[in-house]
Amino acid sequence: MIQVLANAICSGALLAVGAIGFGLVYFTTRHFHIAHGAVFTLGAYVALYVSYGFGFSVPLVSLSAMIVGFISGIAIERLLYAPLIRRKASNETVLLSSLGLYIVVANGIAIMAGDQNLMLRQVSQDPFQSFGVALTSIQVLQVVIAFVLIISLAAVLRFSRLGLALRAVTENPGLSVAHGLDLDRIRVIVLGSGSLLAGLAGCLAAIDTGVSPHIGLRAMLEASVCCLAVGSKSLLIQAAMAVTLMLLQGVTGWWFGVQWSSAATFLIVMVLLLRRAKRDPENRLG
Amino acid sequence: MDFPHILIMLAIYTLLVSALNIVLGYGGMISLCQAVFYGVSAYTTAILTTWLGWSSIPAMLVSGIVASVVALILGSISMHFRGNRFVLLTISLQVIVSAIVLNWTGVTGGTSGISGIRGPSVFGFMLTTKWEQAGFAVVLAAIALVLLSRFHDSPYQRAFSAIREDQLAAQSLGKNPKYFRFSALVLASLFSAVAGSLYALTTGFIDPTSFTIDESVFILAALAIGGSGNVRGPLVGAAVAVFLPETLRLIDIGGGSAANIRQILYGCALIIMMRFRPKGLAGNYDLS
Repeated sequence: MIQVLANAICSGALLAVGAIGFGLVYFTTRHFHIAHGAVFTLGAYVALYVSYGFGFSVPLVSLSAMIVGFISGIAIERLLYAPLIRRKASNETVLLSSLGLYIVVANGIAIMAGDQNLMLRQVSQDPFQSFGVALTSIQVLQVVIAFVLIISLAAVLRFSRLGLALRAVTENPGLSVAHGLDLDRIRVIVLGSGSLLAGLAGCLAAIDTGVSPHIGLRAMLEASVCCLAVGSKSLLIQAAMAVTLMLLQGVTGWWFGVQWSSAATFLIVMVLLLRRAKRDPENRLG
Repeated sequence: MDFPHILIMLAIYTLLVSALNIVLGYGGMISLCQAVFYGVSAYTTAILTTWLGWSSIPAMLVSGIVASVVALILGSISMHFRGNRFVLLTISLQVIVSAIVLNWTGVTGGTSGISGIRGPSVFGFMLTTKWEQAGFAVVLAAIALVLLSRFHDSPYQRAFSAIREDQLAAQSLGKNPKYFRFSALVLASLFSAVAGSLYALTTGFIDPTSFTIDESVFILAALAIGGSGNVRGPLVGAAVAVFLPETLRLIDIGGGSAANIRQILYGCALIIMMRFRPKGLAGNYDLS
């Protein structure tokens, strides 16, 4: 059981990186950003490409995935979302455009790289024993990266002017604009940063478990669960939700077999959503 | 070209896209679990006809009831949700049902699926040839379209649209949004159930890969491309969904990557439609 908990913390850390990126975009723009999954996949395959093509080390591979993620995020905002927002398009329109982009990217990668699962084998997968649990170095790396990111991002949001602007837009976009905040600039920053994290999460997934072209949708769904099921804007709560989700998957897999883990996860999501809906007036119908 | 097969698939997608049209085009809810109703009904029909020896029509009726029960469950949960959380809820249902279909091997056959499903029979007459089965599928789709066109002209549909456009105003006129959203899901499940039964009876084999979230995404993309809020939009969407891969096959584009190229074209079409024509090619309801 301690091993299950340790594994949950490690894979939860990986999920937390992607979830925080999704949350950054979702809570600021209110878009169900399905293209987050496309950037996740893109980050993973860029990592694979630069690692096998140019022999880059893990830090450089991660940096490449983050840069590509950041650029993709800005491109998504500028070329896909901004024209729709200028036209005052509904959230449904943005969601469907985002879905369209995900389909294009996932299938484009499938044509170029094939449908099989690919893994980045630069880091040793041999486990080492520590406090009675077996961990690999990439699992430890995931936890360290997630911890550093959450602390840094929380500090930026709490203490910087940019963080204050982001929180203001999250709370009341209309009033923020009235007070002179440049909403377009903030959207670019948010999409860029969120996608940077998605790219990094994709790279870590490629090192840890391997990736296939259609993995991004599941990654995006799990990230969205961490943000929407509880509905908290707190990074710590989103990270805790990520670990809980992975723990739940681990325990379900342990008891019933891994094939039931995703079903159990989404069953809990439904229960959480239902509990939340009864308290949240935004969701009430009639 | 296998024309009877194309006609069957056109009938099936007309039913599926029209079913989603009730939820999105009239109800204003984006659902990503249409393949759940489609799959549940296909499996029910396959089990009843193959293992229990039922004939097609009673099996189709029971499949409709089973799909409606799933819709009732979804409806009773989703009446608390709107917007993005409704989307997440439908995705959750899709993932759960996909896992059940894949892993409950004693009932669904797991990854091997169910094979040897008998073709449809009407009043004791077996429809053995592909052309007969295509005729049966087209008749069912035509009946569905007639019913939907009656629905489109009814006060019932106007109440749906009123709730979609301005819920508070509709409520002030005594329309209960919970009831209408609930009934949209059940109606959609019934049309999808007919499509699921048709699929099982005409292909003779089903497996979980036909009812995944990708299928739900595909149906949504077809509706967005064809357009929603009327009867002809889903018909156009279904035609695009069926004829585009056939055209690609005819001009031999893609080879082994034809399925991916097809998906890319749908994805591009979705982006272009949302940017330049949110109504779709022939729809009434402007998503923007």
